[in-house]
Amino acid sequence: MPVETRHHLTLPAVSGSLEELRGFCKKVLNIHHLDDRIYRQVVLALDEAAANIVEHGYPEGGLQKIEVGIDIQPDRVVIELRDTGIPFNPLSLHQGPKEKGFSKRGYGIHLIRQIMDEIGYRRSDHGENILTMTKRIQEAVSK
Amino acid sequence: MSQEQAVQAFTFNPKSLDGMVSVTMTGSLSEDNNNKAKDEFLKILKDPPKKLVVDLSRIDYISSSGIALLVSILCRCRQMNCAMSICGLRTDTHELFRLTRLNQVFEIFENLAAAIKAARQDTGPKG
Repeated sequence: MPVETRHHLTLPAVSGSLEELRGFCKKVLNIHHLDDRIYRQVVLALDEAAANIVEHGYPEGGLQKIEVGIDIQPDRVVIELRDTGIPFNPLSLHQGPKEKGFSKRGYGIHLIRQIMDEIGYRRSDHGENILTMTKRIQEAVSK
Repeated sequence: MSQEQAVQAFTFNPKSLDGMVSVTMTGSLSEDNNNKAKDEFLKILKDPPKKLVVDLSRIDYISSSGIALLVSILCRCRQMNCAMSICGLRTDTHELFRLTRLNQVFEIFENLAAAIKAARQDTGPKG
């Protein structure tokens, strides 16, 4: 029987869901026996992206959801996050390490940019934020 | 974080010794446990030691919010003239500090013994 390559999970958009989300991601990546470094980077990127949705997409809280899709292809891992929160493009944030000194926050998007190969955002006609992140498997060793 | 390792529960274990406090945490340092960790650090800093050494060797996962917590504790320590260092960074944790350039901000030691030795001598290498 072929191994399923597409995996989905829907979670409440609250910070308490992040541990379950990481567990789901680890379980999926374990099925496909990915390199340990890719494994860690993909789990981190997904966690950071979801945490951003909780913080920026649903600042008022409430019974909202995040839909997560993980697609394991032979040469890449593609992660998609969908939410119906307020329009929020994480790529519009230009946060990250300062040249001098340091800031107390804003490292999440910087880390995602550093460890993932492609990141895309669009707002669908149905009012969804759709964030797509791709990690190419062959190049992971050098990043 | 190994693919085979189970997730450890979060624990926060402070030890006082000769005017310094070492803290060893287990589990994940992320959105889930940050408030617990922050509360525990702030308890220590109510009566600030001269040195605070944070041992991350048993932390199996750290996110940007965990890093941000450590930065905020570092700022608080500096305001209180308490020297803070971290030690025991696993490979992936060290990579996060490198990617965020915070390896240039924190005093980092290989392990707790080295951090304590340097704290006692009030000197030591950055790495």
